[in-house]
Amino acid sequence: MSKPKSGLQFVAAPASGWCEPGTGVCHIGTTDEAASAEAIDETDDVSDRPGTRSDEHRRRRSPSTR
Amino acid sequence: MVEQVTHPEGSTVVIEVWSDLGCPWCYLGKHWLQTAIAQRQDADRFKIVMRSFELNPAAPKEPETIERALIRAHGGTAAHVMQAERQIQGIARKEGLEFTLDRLSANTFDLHRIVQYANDEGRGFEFFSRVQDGFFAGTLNPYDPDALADVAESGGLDGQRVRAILARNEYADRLRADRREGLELGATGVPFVVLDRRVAAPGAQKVSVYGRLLEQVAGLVPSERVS
Repeated sequence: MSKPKSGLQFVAAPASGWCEPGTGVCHIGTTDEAASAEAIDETDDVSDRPGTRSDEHRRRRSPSTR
Repeated sequence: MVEQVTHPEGSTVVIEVWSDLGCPWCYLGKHWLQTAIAQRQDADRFKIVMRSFELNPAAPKEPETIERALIRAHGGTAAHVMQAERQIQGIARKEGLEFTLDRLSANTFDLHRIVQYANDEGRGFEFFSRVQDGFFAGTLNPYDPDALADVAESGGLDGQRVRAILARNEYADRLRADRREGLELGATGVPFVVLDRRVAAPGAQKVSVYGRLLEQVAGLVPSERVS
């Protein structure tokens, strides 16, 4: 935990994903990226998905999700 | 290390959630937070209060596909932005959540004005949650005033009042103040969850993390609700 000026104590655990307050750009946490790649491999409607190979997903780091 | 000062047993613990509609992590984060709460025997102690956080106040009023909106706002190709969307869809489906890619994107200012009204009635989180669930399931157009009024009425709010608010500029200052306060508190990511004004979690956290934060502010209880 860290303690910023607001007096709040902030959780130190990495988020699974978040959207940036300033830009609205969203990101997926690196620790969840591999899991999400596996998850999409299990879905039914991915045949038309570009770049569907899971190893391609795993190579990417903190991708923007918006 | 965090000081363990917990509420007296049985007292209400307020959890504020800064969130926006278009934010897929707000949808997942809500699910994980609610799951963590439901795993506690004293789940009824926790009151979630919805706080408005417009991620893109400059977003156009006219709805467009998320694909078009993402490319216009952030660049990239259709393949890239939709691949990212499918990653989140995969996580959502693993959680048993509906998550359509056929969503529309537009300005959420009007929605948040209704959220503020619903907050006045003590139902802000419930109202937003219903809109959010319908939006991600692809069953609700949140940019349609009649749809918002219908959701409000189904949740015990006044649909005519919703239409009146939408026709004027009520609650505009309130939702802007919410956003400002979130930033002042240190929101570096949305969703931004603040528990008991003591502990904050930017971004969507896993159930286990939210569970630990609940313990921190409300104490440890046996998790008999876990099946």
